[in-house]
Amino acid sequence: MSLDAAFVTYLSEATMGPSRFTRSPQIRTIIVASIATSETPLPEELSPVREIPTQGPVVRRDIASSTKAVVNQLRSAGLLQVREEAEVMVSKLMADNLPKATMSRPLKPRTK
Amino acid sequence: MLATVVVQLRFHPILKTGEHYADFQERLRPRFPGYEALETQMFEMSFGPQPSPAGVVRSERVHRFLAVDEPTIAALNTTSVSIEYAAHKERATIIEDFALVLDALRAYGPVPIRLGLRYVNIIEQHRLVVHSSDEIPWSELLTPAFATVPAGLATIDSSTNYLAEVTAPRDPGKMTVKYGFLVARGAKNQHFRLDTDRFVEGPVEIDAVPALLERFSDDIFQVFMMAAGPKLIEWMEAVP
Repeated sequence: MSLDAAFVTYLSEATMGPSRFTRSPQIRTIIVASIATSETPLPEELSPVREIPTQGPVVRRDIASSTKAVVNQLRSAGLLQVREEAEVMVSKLMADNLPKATMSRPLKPRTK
Repeated sequence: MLATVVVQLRFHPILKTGEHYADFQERLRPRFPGYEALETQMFEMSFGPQPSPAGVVRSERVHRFLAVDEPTIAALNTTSVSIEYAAHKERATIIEDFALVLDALRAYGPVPIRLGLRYVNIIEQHRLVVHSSDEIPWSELLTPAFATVPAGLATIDSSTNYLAEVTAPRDPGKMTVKYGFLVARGAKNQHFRLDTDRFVEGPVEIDAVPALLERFSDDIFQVFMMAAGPKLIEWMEAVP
């Protein structure tokens, strides 16, 4: 489940062109083999997604919307059988890590 | 310390490789007698100022040819051929193996569009012991340029992780170097990752590939020597 979440987030952050991955039908996991056209592909176990430098994902608003688009595209293509639990987890990760919207109040004119 | 070496040639799609891979295997069989097939799916989608088109899915089979007594795999699909090494091999072996693969590929008349050679080194402090059982400090395993966070944003300690990436032109082609301190999932300690991808995009003459791989290897070795501190070199020289 965590791999699904990491994959979806990473895909929207890093993909600049065709991405290649393999899926094992037995264990229903997705294996990232290459994430960008200008990269010599690495074996999955050395994929950078395994070594995220920060402790947790930090999702910006622009990539959050891209991520949603990726999930929708993958699902409509019938490629990614996103489990409900994984989907809930991705939504929660995003909600927890998105910068909180701040209210801005107009300054009151100073009065003597 | 060397985690993997990957050499890959990409070419415009050749559909007949999928149908006649047995001929290809026959050429490789003395060196790579094992075989397995992997089903893969290519998902294409673009982002940017233009409206995003619907994703395109292409399924295909990757044929993997396995060496017997070493973790080395040659792989062929309709758009690329590659060899992955999970254990250290002499440069001459890598070039010789890839020449074998290219010879087998030649029958299909590939039109190459990219050649890449990538080395990933994982340096783990606790595995490198020279004379005593004490861990060697990173400042002696790595040169100052690689053992410091870019722009001096932080001081290196056991909980500071980062990954720097530099892509620069290199005649011919480019070189991407990714380096930094990371913690693998499930691991307790940091490691230093030095990941060098030397590649050329655009037309590549098949006959020029061995010479290009020689140059790429030189460039990658040069980066490694720029990163290796005195104790790391001492440790390497002590390893039989």
